[in-house]
Amino acid sequence: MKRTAGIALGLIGSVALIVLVFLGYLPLSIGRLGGIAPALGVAGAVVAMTGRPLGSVLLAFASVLTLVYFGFDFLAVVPAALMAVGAGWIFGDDAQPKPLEQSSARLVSDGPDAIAIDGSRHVAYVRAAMLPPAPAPVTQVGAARWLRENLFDGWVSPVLTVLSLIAIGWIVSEIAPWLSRSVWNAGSLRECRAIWAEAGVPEGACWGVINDRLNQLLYGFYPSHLYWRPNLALVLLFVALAPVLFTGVPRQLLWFSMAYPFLAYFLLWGGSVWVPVSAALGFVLGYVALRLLAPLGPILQTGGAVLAALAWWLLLAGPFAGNMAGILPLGNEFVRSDRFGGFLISLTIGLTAIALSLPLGILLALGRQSGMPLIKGVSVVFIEFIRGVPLITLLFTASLLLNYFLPPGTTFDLILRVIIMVTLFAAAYLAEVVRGGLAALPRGQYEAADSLGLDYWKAQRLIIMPQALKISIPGIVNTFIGLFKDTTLVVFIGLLDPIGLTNSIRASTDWQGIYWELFIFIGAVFFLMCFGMSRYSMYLERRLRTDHR
Amino acid sequence: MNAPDTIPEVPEIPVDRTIDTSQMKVTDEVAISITAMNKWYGQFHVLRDINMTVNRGERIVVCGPSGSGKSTLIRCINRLEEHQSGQIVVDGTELTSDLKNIDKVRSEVGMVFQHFNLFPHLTILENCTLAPIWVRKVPRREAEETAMHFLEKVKIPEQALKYPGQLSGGQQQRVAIARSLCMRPRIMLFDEPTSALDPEMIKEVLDTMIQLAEEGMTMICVTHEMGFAQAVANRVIFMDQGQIVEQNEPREFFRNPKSERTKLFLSQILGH
Repeated sequence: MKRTAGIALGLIGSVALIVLVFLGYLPLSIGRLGGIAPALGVAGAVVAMTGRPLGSVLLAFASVLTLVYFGFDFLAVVPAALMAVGAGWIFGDDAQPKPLEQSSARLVSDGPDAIAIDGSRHVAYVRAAMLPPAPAPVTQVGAARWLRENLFDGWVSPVLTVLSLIAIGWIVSEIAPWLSRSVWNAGSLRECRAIWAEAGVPEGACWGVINDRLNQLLYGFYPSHLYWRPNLALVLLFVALAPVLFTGVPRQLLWFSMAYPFLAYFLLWGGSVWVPVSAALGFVLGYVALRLLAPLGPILQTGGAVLAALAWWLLLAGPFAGNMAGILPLGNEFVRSDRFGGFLISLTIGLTAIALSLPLGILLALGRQSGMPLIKGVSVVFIEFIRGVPLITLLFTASLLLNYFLPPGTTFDLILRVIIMVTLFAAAYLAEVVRGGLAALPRGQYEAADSLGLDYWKAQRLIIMPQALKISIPGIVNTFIGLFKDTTLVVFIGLLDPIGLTNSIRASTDWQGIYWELFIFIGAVFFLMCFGMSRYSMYLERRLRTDHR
Repeated sequence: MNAPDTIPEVPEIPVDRTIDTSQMKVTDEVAISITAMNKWYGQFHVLRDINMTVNRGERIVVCGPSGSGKSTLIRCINRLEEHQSGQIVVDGTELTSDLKNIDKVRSEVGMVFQHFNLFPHLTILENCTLAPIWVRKVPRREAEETAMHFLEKVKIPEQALKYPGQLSGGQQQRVAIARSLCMRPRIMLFDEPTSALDPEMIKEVLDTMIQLAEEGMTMICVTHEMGFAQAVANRVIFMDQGQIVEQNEPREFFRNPKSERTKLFLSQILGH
């Protein structure tokens, strides 16, 4: 019987511990209280013999105490594990539902409460008195039930639980001392080492580097007197995101969200105000064309709008911006792209690509489903080509090859090129994610939208996309998170993102030889942002859950 | 299998009230005319030489064995399916590949589906106001008033703020009817509206459909509810193998079917 085996294991563990201590293999001096652990173990085993649930708790507690006081010495871990497994077995047995007692067997045929109704006893039966509900056994509710079902069920899970606890304990015991010797105020690695030497402790974490180089990690080589511009852009970013992400925010703010990209460009790069304005005008023109061409049917309408916008950007936007700057020179100090760096560059590339890749991905997914062979073909080739090529080759293309293809003398900003490539890359993935969502929608939804007279774009916008995107949320956010972390690849084409900056920080004599602290910090910042996205996607899924309630 | 000599009785329609026929008037105005219409799925000839005229105020029941093309026929009327030859004219608008004509016809022809096809991400009220607001450009407040009017008519105004997933099948189908009515259609198409429902829910949906008929709505219903056909329809059309085999006014159709196929079908569907 498992209970007996558990008690035996607990006893063996405790007694072995006592013997080891007495023989001097385990030092009692680590903590006087350590002596309690084996005693508790014996007590637990004895209590368990009397059949009380407290026994397993005492035994488990003794096991933990053993680990705490004797550390992760092999000689201590084995008895502790024995005690823990024993505790688990006893607990598992205590928690087993007990067989029905005799009194409740009255439910069947011929108890005093039951009467035969047609003479054929043992078949028909009518209950004479209703039973009141009885409280559930202690082991079936609350923490005890949770512990049993999740940590101490059967014999595999107690073993795994104990092994996991040991592993976690080991990791913490390795890292915690290093972290506990953290030095925050230091101007160089040498100062850190001096502090540790003075205190007579081994080396710890030298966070002075974050303190010292925080601005560089955040802004790269952005002029320090202009830090307020990226800061303001970040603050306004939250304002612009609020109406997109949350429903409680006034809808009018969406206008600000639409204007934000151009405002952010003006804040980050600066220069003439007419450059972002003329870029924005292209969108306005496209929208006007979309409205005016509506009578021509969806294909001509969309094509015309795209052409109008492209014509503006390629032919007229440049002269317009130049002439307007001549007439009304408004602007602020221009910051070149090679001054950008650190998290500023990660966020700029990541967020722009996220914002641009979703609409592009949706269009590609629709294109792939289109009945028109040309559009379908272009979409399929694009998606398959981009997905089949590593991002890093696209980035190299952006940084090197594009110059060959563009007319000589064109200066095409490197960050902009990278943004375009990352966007295209993510859009191809998103297109496939969205296609999955589209495929999950029943045909009846399209038919219902058609039968109500909704045209293609209205049906997509009001009926199809809200449902398809809702289904695809996990995949979409997955792609976004991947994209965001992939921005660190730009280090290979010479952009100084946080990873790239670690090299230049180490290149200074002050911080030669510092690795962990920088990477932990960068990792933590990335983790916070990605985790935020992940939590938001879960919130969104919950909010949009309208089907089964 | 040979058709039997006697056709079983048509069951009573499961509605406990007398049907008011005072508004059910067939006029001379043509609502739908279909001439020499053919349709193929690839090589498969689903609809063969369909000719029919529907006058305003008619209540037509289309029946036939499964695969006979009856659903395809009414789906051609609002162009959910494309026909390959012949002519379909709805309210004076011919259905061609011209998208404008299609949208015009669709906004005048309401359709109710076997599986309701409500929009699960919108509330009942939003389901009903969506098309009026976005297609008919009705102001939101007015659209909501209309929607509540029709939801009251199908007797579920109290569910307006719930989502389709929270309603029973019969309630969902009644919402689907109300959703179509909100577009103020002049013709209603029903594609097996009760086939996916439990018996007690069939009753409430049929009740709503009878109510519509009583108000003089032009209706074409693909259905196996022969009681409904007998009580409400002015014409029953029997289809088999993609063609119209027989049509007649219901009393004659059920008492005295002419074609062997019709007799066989009726004996099978009414026999059990």
